[in-house]
Amino acid sequence: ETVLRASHQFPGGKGDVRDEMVQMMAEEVAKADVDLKIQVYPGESLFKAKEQWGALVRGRLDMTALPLDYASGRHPEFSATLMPGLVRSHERAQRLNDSKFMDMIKKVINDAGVKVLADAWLAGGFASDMRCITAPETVQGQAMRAAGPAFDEMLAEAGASIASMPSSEIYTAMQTGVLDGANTSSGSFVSYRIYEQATCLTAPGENALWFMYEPVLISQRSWDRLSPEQQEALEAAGQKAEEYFAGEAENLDKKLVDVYKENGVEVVQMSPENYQAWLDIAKKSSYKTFAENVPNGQALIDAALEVE
Amino acid sequence: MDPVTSGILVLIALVFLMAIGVPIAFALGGISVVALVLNQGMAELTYFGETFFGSIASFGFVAIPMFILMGAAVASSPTGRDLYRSLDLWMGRLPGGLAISNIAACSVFAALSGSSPATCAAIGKLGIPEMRKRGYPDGVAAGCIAAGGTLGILIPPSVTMIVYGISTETSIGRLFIAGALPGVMLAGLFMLWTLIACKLAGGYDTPSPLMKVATQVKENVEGNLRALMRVVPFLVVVIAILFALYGGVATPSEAAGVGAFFCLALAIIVYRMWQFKPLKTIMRDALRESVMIMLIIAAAEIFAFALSSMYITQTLAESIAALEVNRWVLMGAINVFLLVAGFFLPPVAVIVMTAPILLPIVVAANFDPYWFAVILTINLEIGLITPPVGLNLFIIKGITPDIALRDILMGSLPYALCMVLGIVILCFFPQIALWLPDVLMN
Amino acid sequence: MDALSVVTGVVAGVLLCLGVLAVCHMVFMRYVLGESTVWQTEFTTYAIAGAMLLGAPYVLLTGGHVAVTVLPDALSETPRKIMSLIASLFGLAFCLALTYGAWIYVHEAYTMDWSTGTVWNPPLWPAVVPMAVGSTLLSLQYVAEMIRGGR
Ligand code: NA
Ligand code: NA
Repeated sequence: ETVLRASHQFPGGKGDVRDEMVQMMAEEVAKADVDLKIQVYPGESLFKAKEQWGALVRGRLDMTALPLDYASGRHPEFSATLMPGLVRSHERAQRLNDSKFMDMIKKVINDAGVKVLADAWLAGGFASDMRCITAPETVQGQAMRAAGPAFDEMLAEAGASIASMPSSEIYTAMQTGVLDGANTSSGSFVSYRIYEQATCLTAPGENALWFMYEPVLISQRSWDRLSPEQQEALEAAGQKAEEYFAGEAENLDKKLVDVYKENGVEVVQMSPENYQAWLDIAKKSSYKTFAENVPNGQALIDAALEVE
Repeated sequence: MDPVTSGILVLIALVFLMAIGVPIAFALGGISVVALVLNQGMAELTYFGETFFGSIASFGFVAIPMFILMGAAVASSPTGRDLYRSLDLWMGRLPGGLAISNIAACSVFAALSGSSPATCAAIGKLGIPEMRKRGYPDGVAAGCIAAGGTLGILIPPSVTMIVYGISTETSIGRLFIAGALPGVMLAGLFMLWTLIACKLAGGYDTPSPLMKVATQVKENVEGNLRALMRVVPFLVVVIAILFALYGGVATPSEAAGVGAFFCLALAIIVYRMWQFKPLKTIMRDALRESVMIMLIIAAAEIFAFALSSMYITQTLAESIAALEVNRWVLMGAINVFLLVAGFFLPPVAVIVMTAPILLPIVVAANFDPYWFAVILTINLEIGLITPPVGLNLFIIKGITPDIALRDILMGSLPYALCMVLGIVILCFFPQIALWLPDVLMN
Repeated sequence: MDALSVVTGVVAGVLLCLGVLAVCHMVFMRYVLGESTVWQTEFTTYAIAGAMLLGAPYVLLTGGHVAVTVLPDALSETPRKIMSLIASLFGLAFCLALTYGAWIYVHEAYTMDWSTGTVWNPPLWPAVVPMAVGSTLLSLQYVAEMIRGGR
């Protein structure tokens, strides 16, 4: 029997969608009866979140579900997968998966010795206890926590002051006024109970600025060790997990809105005009830096914006 | 090899290496390298640098050397002496008064320092010679300092609570407050035992004749007030920092950094320690202890990674979770396990390796994670004064090489029993740990 | 050798102080001035990690790494020397493994241009160099201790 070790940072067995994705693949592969077993190590119980990519590349780790931006220190191109405004909506995320943009990203992934088993795009939004965040002017003077360098840069350009901290600290930081607002994924907004501190939520909706790519990956070395039947079973499992995730991702956003409304938090969305205004700011800040620092940076951004 | 066999082999190898005198950090780290290479292949050697670096470079752990530096700044300045003299003056008249004031001094110093060995050293350097001079038997003199010193990790701030908070993703501020009242309770139990022990033996304090005490008081009252006043700024800084932390205004690392800065600055201003030499002492003490602790933490992290990699951790956790026993039987078993682990390993190592496994089990059995942190800490405090690895015992031995280890151990034993009693009391009244955090944090 | 360990000890002390200052700077910027803080968290993390690893040889020199000496202490001269030699060899083996891994990591981070992937995004290799230097000196210090012990 071949055993594949799969590691991720999300809580295990508690209904986290990313954990469910990996667990589902483990079940599917077991059902396929091809002498293959996926052993899941959730909640950083094997590798730390940021060490997973390095381990995967070297074949120390077989599989992972990873926010790809975590590896942007080694492949700056990956910053594009947590770049403001490049995705916009779940429907567009689906189209993006089959675009030139993702071909370029996946080429970097493959060249590093890693293979994508399942695509996954997670949406997110903003919350604030100062004022609703819609147009860029609304963040002026707010102390914000963003979820990545590109967002930090754009928010700073719009006049926010930035404090970097892990998402687990948002709650206390907002409670004590260290932060006025925060920007993270729909799932984190619910699980960290930010609704107890926020007065206004900007839900993802049709014009979401915040999307993050969190695929399920396998090390090429581990892949090559598998028999054709095993590879087939794993690919089928990946496909199934991907479909499951696409459905769940929108549910996460719905749940976010429901929970915040139930708790008396005002819920707004960005208008197309707001979205465009943010894009203009991003072009002057994070896109510009990205294009300057990454060899094919501009090409990547253009390819993403090209998608209908 | 199946996880159970490899787990047993790793354990035997570890005990062997530690027994022949390999430093704990190197024993833990070395055995992990060997296990990883045997399990995953020679290539693990190539990645070892990355793994080790990842286990030490974390912003959360930054708080540990900084809290130690803060304690060293206070300890190397004459604060300890000033604190000690003032307390002695107030409590000198009780039977065993000097020993009791030593425990009080340890508790106050524990609130200034995050580490037990540092607390033990700071008060012990003055306290043990003084007690022996006044006729206390070696065992009592050493025992009360060894035990009082353990309060360093229970009364906040605490390096072990930081490690627990990081390993289990619980709030470090809340953990700190949870330790405060149990710390005071333990100090009370220690004092009570000292009082009883001294009464039983007919009072060890060769009370410097009453008259002499009175004149001393008159002579020194002014000097002592001044001494006490010098301690006050440190206490103010520390209290301000702890409040910032408890209020959630600052993260532990921020609070620790600012605290270290101010205590260092105060040591320089209040005690005029601007010469190079005293500063060198502070830095040297802080560096020695924090390097020792941080290397053990890093090695323990690698060890935990190796165990997890061989599926030993998961197998163990599954089999404990599968035990269908009464929750108090479970808690009792966990306590025995922690006590035994504490005999052999320093507190931070035990926490890094076991807290992530134990916490889910404990929470599933409906125990409070913050209450459990306190229970865990007291268990590890006992480990600090038991052989073969008792950090506080090493410190006492360093201060007074002429006291036999046997005397230190016999003197410490009753205090270890006080801690067991403390655990029992906390089991009956968990509110002692939980009330203050509930009141202070919503 | 001893002198080298003292030198890195001093560097470690300086790094520790720099870490403290960076945290204070961050607190001042964030809480007093309400401005953005970009580089401080990372700088402090690497400064402190560096201090701990560079300080390790000095701590070995001054006998500060905790070990259990109950059994060796109970033995007579010759068995104790043999036991301490075995212990030292094992400790040295660990340090050599760390040295090897650390230099490889530095080499990779440098040649492949790895950075930390944050807003500040500094190159990674300078953060790893203290580990490589520290573990190298730690190994040498171990050899020095063994020679001293053998005499
Ligand atoms: Na303390
Ligand atoms: Na012990």
